[in-house]
Amino acid sequence: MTDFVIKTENLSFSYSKKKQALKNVNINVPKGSIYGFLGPNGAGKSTTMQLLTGILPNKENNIFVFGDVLSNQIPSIFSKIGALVESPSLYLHLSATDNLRCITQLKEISETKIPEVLELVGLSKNANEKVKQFSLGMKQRLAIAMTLLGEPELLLLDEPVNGLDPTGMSDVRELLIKLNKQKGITVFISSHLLSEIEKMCTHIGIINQGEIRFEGTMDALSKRGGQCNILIETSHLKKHIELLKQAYSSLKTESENIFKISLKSKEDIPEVSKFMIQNNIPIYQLKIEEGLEEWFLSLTK
Amino acid sequence: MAMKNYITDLKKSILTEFIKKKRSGIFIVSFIIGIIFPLILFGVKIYKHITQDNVYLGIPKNYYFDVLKDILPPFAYFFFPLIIIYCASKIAQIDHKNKGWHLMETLPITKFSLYFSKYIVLIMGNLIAITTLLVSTFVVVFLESILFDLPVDKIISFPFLDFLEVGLRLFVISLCISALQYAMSVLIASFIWPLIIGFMLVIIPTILFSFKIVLNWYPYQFFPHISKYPKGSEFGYWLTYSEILSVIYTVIALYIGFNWYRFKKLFTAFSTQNKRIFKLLGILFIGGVLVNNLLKTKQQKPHAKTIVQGKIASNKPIKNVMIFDIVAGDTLAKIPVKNNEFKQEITQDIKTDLYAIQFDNYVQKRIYFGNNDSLNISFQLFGTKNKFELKGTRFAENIQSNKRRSYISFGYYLKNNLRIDNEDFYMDGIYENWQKNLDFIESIKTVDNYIPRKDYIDRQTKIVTIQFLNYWKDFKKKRKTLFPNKPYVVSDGIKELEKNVSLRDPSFLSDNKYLDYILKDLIREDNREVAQEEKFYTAINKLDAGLFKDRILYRQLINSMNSAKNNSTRDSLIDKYVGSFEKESYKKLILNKFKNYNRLSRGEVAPNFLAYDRNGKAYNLNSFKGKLTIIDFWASWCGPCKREDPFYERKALAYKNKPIQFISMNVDENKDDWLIDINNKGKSILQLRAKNIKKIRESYGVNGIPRFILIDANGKFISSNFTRPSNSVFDELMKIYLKKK
Repeated sequence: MTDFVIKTENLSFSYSKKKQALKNVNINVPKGSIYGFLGPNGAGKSTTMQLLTGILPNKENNIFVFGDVLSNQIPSIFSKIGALVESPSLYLHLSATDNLRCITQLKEISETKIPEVLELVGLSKNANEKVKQFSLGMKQRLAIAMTLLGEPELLLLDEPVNGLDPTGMSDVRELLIKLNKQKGITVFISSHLLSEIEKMCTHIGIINQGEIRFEGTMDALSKRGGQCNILIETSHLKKHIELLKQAYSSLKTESENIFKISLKSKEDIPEVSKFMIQNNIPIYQLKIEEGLEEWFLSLTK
Repeated sequence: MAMKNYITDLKKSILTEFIKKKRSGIFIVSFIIGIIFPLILFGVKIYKHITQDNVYLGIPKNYYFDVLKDILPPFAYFFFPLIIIYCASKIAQIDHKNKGWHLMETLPITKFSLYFSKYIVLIMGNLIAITTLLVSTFVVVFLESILFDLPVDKIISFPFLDFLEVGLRLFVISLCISALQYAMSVLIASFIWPLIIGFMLVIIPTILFSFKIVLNWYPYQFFPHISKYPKGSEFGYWLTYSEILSVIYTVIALYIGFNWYRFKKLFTAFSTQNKRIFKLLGILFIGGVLVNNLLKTKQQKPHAKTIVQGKIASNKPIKNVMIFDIVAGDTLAKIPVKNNEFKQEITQDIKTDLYAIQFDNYVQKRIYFGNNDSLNISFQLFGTKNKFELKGTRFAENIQSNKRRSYISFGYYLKNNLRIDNEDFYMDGIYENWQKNLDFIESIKTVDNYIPRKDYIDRQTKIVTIQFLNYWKDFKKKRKTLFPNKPYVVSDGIKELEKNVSLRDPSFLSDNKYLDYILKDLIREDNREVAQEEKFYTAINKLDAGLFKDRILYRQLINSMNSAKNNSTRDSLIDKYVGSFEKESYKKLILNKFKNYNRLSRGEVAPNFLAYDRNGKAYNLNSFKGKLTIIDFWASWCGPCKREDPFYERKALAYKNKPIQFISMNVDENKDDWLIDINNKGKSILQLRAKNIKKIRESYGVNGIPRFILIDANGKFISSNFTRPSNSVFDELMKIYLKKK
């Protein structure tokens, strides 16, 4: 059986009697994974995050972290967890170093680790600047640096790349992958955009309206959303449509000369082009429509 | 978690708070608030030392503590609570503003440590403010004492324990205010709202005070309590009941505040499901019982014996302490003073009443006591200043601030015959003010929450009632005269007022207003066209024989004799009424007074005396024959005498060329006191000192000073109690007598 770092069993939560924020949520985060927790805004991501960190008190003992009930381990468990909830929680009137000193003080670790983590997130030059003057990206990186102190076994990151520019995003991604690979840190990361984290995650959980819609490995996800939709532009579509429909029943016209067909996989594409050429149907453009994103959107609609 | 872990955990959090509070200025603000008032005062003192040469001597006081007393009100009333409110809000804001609560809660630290570390930092700030205040007060006074020559009445020895006690009391109360404000600041995420609420809570006592309401249970009232009673408990305890109350409040506020914070919502924190509600109710119940017990007012119990004792500090030799009855003036006790202390058990029956206590001939004070009371008196007399303090079983009854004068607007209207046609204005005004005054009596309380015994409250109630009934009587009379044809209905309030006073209370005739009231009441139905005085006597004669009659007759006779112009009037008064007394002692007393009055009345030969001037030249009354003579009896320790002094000198200069001799007759025990005092006096007044001071006082009936006596050119009395030179009629009278000569 896989060793789950985080496991919830039918986790439910409501802020008021009328509205239930979470309904029977089951999350299973395997050890050593990078778990992407996806969902649109208001789906219950932050609520889940806050329950996983104990910020929101949970009456039932159905959250397990490192194999034990979470509420029994608070607050000592946080010496093994680096959590970034509601980014960025920083003391703006303090310098980056002082912010990190708060953590080293509470986690009882040496202050010599501070330059290391600053180096890691690329803020060495800004160590003594007031956080107030930082850009959003710098703040995000500092917040991540704070979670990295004390060599945690688990990182809980709530939208850590939110508001970062593409370079910043890829920096963070690389950093997390590196930590995961080199130190075996399990990463639980939430986001509302699949594209942001798709490239680094090993596991994905998708939540919408308080319910888990999908959970599994990236491969499973690809398979689940495994249809390959392609868009093809041609001319005189009306003339050829009957012929095409006979061959590909999934055909849908998108506009005057563009149509879409669904294939089982990419491997079927050459077949399509061959078929069209053989039948003298011109191809002006052939494009794969992003399958996972679309599927994700359909799940979260 | 073991205790040790709690402490290391708490220590960790406190150190983190120290990092977090950087640049918030919390400790600096506390330091500034602590140092600012001593500094300001220091500036003022230096300015005063440089600009004026002040050698105004008073009662010797500890100068360190005296300065602290001056600094306490602004600090304790306003700025210290304000700084607590500000710091509590500020310290919670550090985490509200930056969402630091969530960050902290995802670190290996208990919520207990998190909540309490901030509270501890907060009270460290309080400690800084208090310590700065006390230390800087010490430094400032110390500097003043070495930079300038301080007058001898300022005692320069640092009262370490008194300072420590004030500091401790401030600190204990700051615990409570901090706990309340801190809980509020953590629960309310805004910066400004806890400030506004706290500010309101601080000023509520001040607002209520103007309505004469004092909330003894109210935590924000405790700071004013310290500044009002810097010396603390009457019984020498380190803490008064308000400090103990604040400890209870602190525990409750911290308990509720912490659990509310821990479970985010009040309902989650305390509900029947998790049983914490029962714990809370238990704590509230115990707290409630304790608070209720502490707030219960206490009364002193009488002792087995009646004892008067005390200490005297003075630069005059005080030999005896006398206690006498104010109605008849008989001496109840004459207690010798030995080594500045006196003590005597009074065995005779003392009816609980107001009595006079006199320290030799120097100062007379009023004290309220009776059988089985134990009085502990401290009396100080230095120069012209005196200080009288009474402790013991009648402490609450003898607090000086019990005497209260309030401005009553309808009194002004009444005096000037305004709005007499509006009976409602007077009836309502009299009733409302009466009620207010009664409320004040009920609110009398000592620092240790003791209230006067019932007898005193009843007596004060009567005094106040009579005061207002006299207004009512005056109104009725004026109404009858000015608007005889306008009837009115007496309100229920006034009826209540009238019901409150017995018309036959002999123990109460020591109060002049009561006497006045009774006399007016007695002659209510007497419509004869004769002098009011005659009506009084007719009415008194009709009374049943007994103490009440004796006392009222005695008082009335003294009044008549005082105002009688000549001996024959007095003779006839005595002839008519001396037989009406039941008790022999009153008869004797009145005859004695009568003899004195006659001896000293106008036209009688003034007794001779022998006195010397500063060079030893002898004078007697005959030395001034042919001229009017005015004698001022005075002493160097007598404040009112000193106030008359400049007026007297001015008059002496004004009448320089008139046939009148101005004399100042000194009655100081110590000749040197006299010599020092007259050292740089002008020659317009003849400065004399009698050979036998006791004799001259007795023969001239000088029972109080200042006393001015005017004698004509033939050595006969014009007045044995002439008007004071500060009075504007002095010149008019003088003109008449100078002409007559």
